[in-house]
Amino acid sequence: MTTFSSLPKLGVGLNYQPGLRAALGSLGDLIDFFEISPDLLCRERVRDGERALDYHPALLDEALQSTAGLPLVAHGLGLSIGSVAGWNEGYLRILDELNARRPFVWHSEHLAFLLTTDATGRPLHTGVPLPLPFTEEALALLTPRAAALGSRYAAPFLLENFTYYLPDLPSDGGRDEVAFLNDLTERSGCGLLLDLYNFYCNAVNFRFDPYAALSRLRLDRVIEIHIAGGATHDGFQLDVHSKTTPEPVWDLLEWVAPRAPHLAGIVYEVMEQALTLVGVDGIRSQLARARDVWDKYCAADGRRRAHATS
Amino acid sequence: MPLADLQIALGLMVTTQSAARGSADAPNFNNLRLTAAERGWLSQLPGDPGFNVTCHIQRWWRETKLGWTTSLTLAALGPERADATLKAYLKATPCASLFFTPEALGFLDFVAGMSEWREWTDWPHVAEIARFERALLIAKEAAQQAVDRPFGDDEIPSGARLSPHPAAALLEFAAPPAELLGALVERRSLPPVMATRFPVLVAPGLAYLWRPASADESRLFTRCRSAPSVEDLLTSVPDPAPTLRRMVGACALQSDL
Repeated sequence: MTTFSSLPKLGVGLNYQPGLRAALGSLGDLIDFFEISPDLLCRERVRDGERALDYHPALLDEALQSTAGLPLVAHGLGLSIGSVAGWNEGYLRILDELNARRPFVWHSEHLAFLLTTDATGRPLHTGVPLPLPFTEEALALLTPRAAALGSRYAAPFLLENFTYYLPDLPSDGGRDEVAFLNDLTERSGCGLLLDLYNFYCNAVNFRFDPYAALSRLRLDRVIEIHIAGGATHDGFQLDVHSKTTPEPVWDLLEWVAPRAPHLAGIVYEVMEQALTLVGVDGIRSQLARARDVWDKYCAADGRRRAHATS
Repeated sequence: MPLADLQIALGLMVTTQSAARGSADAPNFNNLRLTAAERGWLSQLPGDPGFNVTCHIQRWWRETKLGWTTSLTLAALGPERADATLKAYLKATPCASLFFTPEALGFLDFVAGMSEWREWTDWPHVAEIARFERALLIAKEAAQQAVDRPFGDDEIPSGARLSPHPAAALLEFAAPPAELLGALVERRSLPPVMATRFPVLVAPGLAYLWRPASADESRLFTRCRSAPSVEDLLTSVPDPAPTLRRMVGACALQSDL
């Protein structure tokens, strides 16, 4: 069983992407750690349903150089941990390679599936991550996989709650997303990457009280928090990472942070393609505000990170 | 395992609607082991706003990827035909990957293989641009993979057999390349189709990944498709050695040694 209490308190982080490299020079004083998505540094080749992932060596080298000197966590996109047809083995190989080059403090993935088959058994890519039902069968699939990922490296594994738009997902015994996450983290030993923007999107889209829901969540399993901002479409809040964090999400962060005893990092997520929309100053403001929350509730006693005030 | 069947059903429904396929192509779930509750749930999804948003996101991401990676081809098509071609492609071709390049290659192959463009006399150059953009993507990925240059520009081992590098291509335009590509980038009218052909070399070791090909380069690249020896090539053009060295150095050609 993973002991989260021994994890170092990393602080405030940023998701590294090649397109953000130029901005890092003016953000460095606000970043305690980096989150890297290894998939973004790779190319994927698909032939007859077989997929192979391999790094662009230059992109990987640049990523490791740009993030040198600070702790690293890994956050995958393409594992498809929830696929009954099989997860993406290629993703595990690139994760192995990243860990060998630069061990990460923890790693995480999305609670969703991308890979399935058609009715004849031919591979089918859904093109968009899809949710799993809140059922015992889904737990039976995910639990050993999450447990295996938790022991694959000398680093815990976290699962990220996911934004979904399909109504009335099938469930057993009235289980909802919170109960499902609780069961999954309890049975597998994995931690939780609580994406507060995703949680907020689901609360808005399905009209539930996020505070009441968070009150039922196993907050002692929350190791990392994501904050982000997105767009709306046809009345739905979308998980796009294209804007600054909306105020309700900052409120949720203020509520969760003092209640998550093992919280080890807060990451502001933004797409590199949104850099022109958010701006370097926008990213700075997000990191600075996240740091205020971190310092208020989470920083280890006597080890507040010193940084120059602007 | 019922969860497998539920994922099959959901995957088919999302991909079918995202591709804007008609009701005739609606997936059939008769052979799937779904509970009555699951069938009931699935039957209510079409038309549900959340399901529609899910399908919209799938399609939007595919279109966005193509907008970023195939801009020259889309410009060559023009707005109306680009829209129609994208629709046709998305309907015909399932999503294979979230990554940019596989989607782009699929679309560019689709465009280059379309027969309609032959009738678009007022929209020339489409297939050549699609092939060019495809070659650029392949060359760029190879360049990012740190393409090996086993030897520099100094020598080619005697006895070597040369062949085109897998990430290189020799293409032809029906108008001067700079004029054609400039018109595309600047959204001007494209130059008319000329009887003359303008060869272009695409290779991962070239600055900007491409340039016009000389007559010698065209001749040598074509000869190398049969993997001749260097000695055989000496008879193809006068003094081919400098050209061969340049092409090997640019990873347009590769040696078996």
